[in-house]
Amino acid sequence: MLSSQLIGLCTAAYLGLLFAIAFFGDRRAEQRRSIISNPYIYSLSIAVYCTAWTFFGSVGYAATTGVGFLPIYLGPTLMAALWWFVLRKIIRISRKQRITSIADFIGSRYGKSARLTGLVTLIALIGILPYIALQLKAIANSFLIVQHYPLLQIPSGAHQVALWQDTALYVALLLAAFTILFGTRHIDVTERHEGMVAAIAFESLVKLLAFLAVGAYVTFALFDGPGDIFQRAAERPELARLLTLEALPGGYARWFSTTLIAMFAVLFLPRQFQVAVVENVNDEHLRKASWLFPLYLLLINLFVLPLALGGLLLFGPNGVDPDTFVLTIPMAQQAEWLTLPPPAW
Amino acid sequence: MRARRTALVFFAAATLLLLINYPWLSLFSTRQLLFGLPPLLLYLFGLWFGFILVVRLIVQPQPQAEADNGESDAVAPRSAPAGEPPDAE
Repeated sequence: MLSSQLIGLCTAAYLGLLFAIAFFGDRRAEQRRSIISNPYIYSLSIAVYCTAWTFFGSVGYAATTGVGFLPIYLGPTLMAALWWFVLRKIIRISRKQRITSIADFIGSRYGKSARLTGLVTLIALIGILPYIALQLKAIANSFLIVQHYPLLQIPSGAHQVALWQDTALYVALLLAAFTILFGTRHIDVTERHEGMVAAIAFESLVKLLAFLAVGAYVTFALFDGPGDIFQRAAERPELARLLTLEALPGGYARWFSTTLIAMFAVLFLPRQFQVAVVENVNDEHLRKASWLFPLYLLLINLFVLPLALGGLLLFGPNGVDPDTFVLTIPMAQQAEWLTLPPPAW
Repeated sequence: MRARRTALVFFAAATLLLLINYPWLSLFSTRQLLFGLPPLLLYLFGLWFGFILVVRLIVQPQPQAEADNGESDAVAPRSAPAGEPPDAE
């Protein structure tokens, strides 16, 4: 049984650990014994590309489009290959000109135009707001689902809560506190935020391991391996179309354009610029990151389609919201231990 | 050497971009399973993993030099002094 206290306790413990890691990272940076100065931590921090959307959304998307989720990860794989040549240049320019954001960078390319820099900042701000809202919603939603265990669907109306009862509010406040403590507290703009990067890298690792654990559990414990899932899916016409390109919305044109958008997203999203350029300690790390980061993407996507099909086979087409399969499949099997790490963070 | 590596990695990326798009992709869009897995998934993940290995080979010079050493020691002295010019400016 998952009581609210237990969920709260686990969340507090996990957050405490993240704060501790960030604090430790900052301390070590002050002592000039950086813990993030290696290509593995650097690659894991770039994996911040995979947000809560990867965790919940790609399974949900795969449940309706089949392989439609893949361009979002194939694009960055293509771009990462070019990092050693493209990103290294950006890093060197940024270091020389003390650039600390994508807006600064674009402005500096056009004669340090303050007006252009302001415009880019504004566009980034407007673009990023719904993005952050989506993340908060994903986190708050996963809380709601786990709280309603053993129910697999949130009863209608459970979303309408008073402001002070809304998990999203507290999550936003906690994230703000974290940002102030480990992000903006440093006045010197050239200083890196090593604690924050260490925490991000740790989170990426937790996210990957949690996803692989759920994937392996569903594929090998609930079913007889991936072959079994695909075999059963192939026998049902409504699921068999997910194994081909028939379910792909927008066909090849959308597939191609999504790949291109994802290529540029991984280079130009403000948070990617922050971790890949501003927080870069040594541009030699790009060598390893340009294949380690794609490897991370490959691993975190390995079980997406088996999970989506497994969920559809277990719950039927109109049962449970596919976006929540990562949580609800283990919940339906009473495997509480798999739902406890709040991985959406 | 550096210019050649740039060309190689751009070539590899362009090839992958072509292979994961229209005519090629449609060849694997079938409901028949291959080794119990959908051919489309096998193809995409196979290409993906292969590409990661290729990029690792192109971008990372150190492991390659080690592999050369492992194969035969006679090759090592020949390639080592010439080596790859350090990539620093």
